[in-house]
Amino acid sequence: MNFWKRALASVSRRKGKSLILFAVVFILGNVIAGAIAIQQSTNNVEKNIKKNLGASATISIDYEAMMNLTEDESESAFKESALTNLAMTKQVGELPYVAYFDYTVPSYFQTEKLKAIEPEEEEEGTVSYGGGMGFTVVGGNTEEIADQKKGKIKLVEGRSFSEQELSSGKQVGIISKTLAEQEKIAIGDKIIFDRVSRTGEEFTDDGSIKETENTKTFVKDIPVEIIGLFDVQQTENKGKDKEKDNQHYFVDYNYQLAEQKNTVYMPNEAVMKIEKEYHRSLEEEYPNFWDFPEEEYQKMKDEEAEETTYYQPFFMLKNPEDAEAFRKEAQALIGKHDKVLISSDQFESVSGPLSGMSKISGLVLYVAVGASLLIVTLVILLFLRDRKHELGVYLSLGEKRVKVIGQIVVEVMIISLVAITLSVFTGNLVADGVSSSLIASQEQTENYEMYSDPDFYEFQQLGTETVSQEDVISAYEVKLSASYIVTFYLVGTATILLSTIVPLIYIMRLNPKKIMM
Amino acid sequence: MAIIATEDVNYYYQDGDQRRYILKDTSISFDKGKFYTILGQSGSGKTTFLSLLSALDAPKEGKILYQGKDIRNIGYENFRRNNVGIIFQSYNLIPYLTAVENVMVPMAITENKLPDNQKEVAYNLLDYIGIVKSKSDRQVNQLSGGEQQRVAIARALATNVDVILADEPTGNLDEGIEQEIVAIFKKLAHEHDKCVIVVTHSNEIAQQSDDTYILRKGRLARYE
Repeated sequence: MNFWKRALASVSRRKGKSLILFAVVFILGNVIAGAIAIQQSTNNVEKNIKKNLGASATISIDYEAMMNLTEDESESAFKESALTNLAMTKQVGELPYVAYFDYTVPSYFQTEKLKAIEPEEEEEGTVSYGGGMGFTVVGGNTEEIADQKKGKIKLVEGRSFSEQELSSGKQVGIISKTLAEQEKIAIGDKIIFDRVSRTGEEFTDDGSIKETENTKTFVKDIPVEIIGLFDVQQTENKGKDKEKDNQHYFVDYNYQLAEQKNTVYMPNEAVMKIEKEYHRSLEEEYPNFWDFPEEEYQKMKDEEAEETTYYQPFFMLKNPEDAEAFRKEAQALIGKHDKVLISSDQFESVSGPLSGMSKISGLVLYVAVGASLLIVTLVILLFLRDRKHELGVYLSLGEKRVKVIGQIVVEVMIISLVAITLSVFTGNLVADGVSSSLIASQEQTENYEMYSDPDFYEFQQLGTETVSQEDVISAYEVKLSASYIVTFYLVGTATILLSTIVPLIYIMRLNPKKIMM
Repeated sequence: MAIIATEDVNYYYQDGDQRRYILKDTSISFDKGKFYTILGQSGSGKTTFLSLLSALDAPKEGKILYQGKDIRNIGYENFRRNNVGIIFQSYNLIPYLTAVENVMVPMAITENKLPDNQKEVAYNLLDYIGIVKSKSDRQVNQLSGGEQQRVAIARALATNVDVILADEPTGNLDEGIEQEIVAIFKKLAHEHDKCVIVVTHSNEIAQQSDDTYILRKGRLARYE
């Protein structure tokens, strides 16, 4: 009848006491398991969404900080920004966390003769975009277009830029297949973007735009030879999964999709050349076209002489886990009012309900572990006091104290492991139920609108999926994962083992003579 | 050579500067094959003497010798595990175990060489002291006082030790049962060559023992 057999006999024959300890561990185990399940689930959502968001980064002006600056300060902030200083971008691109980096020179062609793709209207009368669509021009710096690398587009016909085209700034372009089909454009065609700038118009009462006698119109034809056609990749797939009744989302989604189809990829050098030439011609034909006050106009002219070019950088990181280290080091290299935007940052903005729940569950976990330590310690201690004579018998028979302790630990662990094993499942159910109501209550208080995020455009340019609060909530799932089970068993058994420390000290101090005689 | 002996044993409680002696200069030896009783009034120190012999406590001065060796050197825990069997007044059995399992507890603790068929040995021991097999499989709290004390005796014998120490073993039993228990002790001493030392306040038991000692004012003397 060694201590193992004695422990088994004690557990099975002292049913009442075993049941009490089981109930205590089971109830506390459920609280701990629930808290761990919620923590794990929120962590999984964060990990998965951040993984989906990828590890790409860009640099943006910190608009919030800029709001507190004077006009002069804002101007100098822009001049000191990495967005206008290619050398800064290159320095950031040389950081060890960066797999590759690129930059584009953006532009926008508003045309009248060449028709851009209009967003699809789901329900008549519900969508209004205010004015026609134009063409987003994205400058490229490498043979493989940056958006191709990001997976935003796929080249389906023709070819990409050649080295020679990139360096010479030849006006070659890659457009969407949809646009090509709509405008009957084939590879090798030279199309004309009749880039229009117009000022002095008025809005009528019905919302349309009317020309007045002050209206000035400047049109410059920009010939571009089409060398390739692309298809938009990610956004289309994502749109299909979206709920159709989410009108706000659908409007934005359709607009975004049309915008992508209206993108024209050209070499950076070509975009810079076109921009310079366009503004020079505009200025020649209509000095102070936009009717700026004289002083401001002069200032702008001086600035234009400095030939400031706006670069939009893109960094692909080697590892998503390096994001914060990259941000810290990059921030030191860029302008004071610049900020590093990482694709995964979006998660922080939309994770409100989950992070609240994660905090609550973290707190519950600590409290439950603390309460378990106290309660289980007291229960074991009370039971041991009842068994003082039994322990005295073992000691008087010459049993080693370590084996007496071993018997008690085995008994507690047998009961606790059964309770913990059951709690794995029931705690998971508890977590599911609790988190559903917690999310619902948090959702009501959080009203984040991703589309109103000042950095939304930059996130879009990163080419990653955009996430909404609904995405985060729908990704939340309490499940029986291996890590949840392992973590709960570790926390559970560690708590129970710690709870036996005080009772074991009690055994160590027992004097068999005092008990038995 | 005596199986167990005390040599100049002193045991006292320190009360400020004063020492209150329970045992003073006690030197006595016990042999195998004999049934001894220690008489004394309540509070005379009988139980303390037994606790020293059973290594549940250590003398303040002097030695307890087992086969001539100081039990301090054997180790108190080792000594209890391998060399002595103890029977208590209130039986002190493990309540959730059966009689046979109680007897098997010290078998798992001792380092003495025992037969492999321990359960059978335990049944035989119980049978020898009057517990039939059907009762051996009952939990001990379903047995009478006399039966529980028999189980306690069987447990003391389970490790095949030479010295059996009993502290008022019949204190809670009826007279008839008392005689049966005494008979077992005599049989163990005389037929099985054990050294049985029983602490009691009963003259009737003392009269049946081979040697009787009386403890008075800390001095242990032969009782004629």
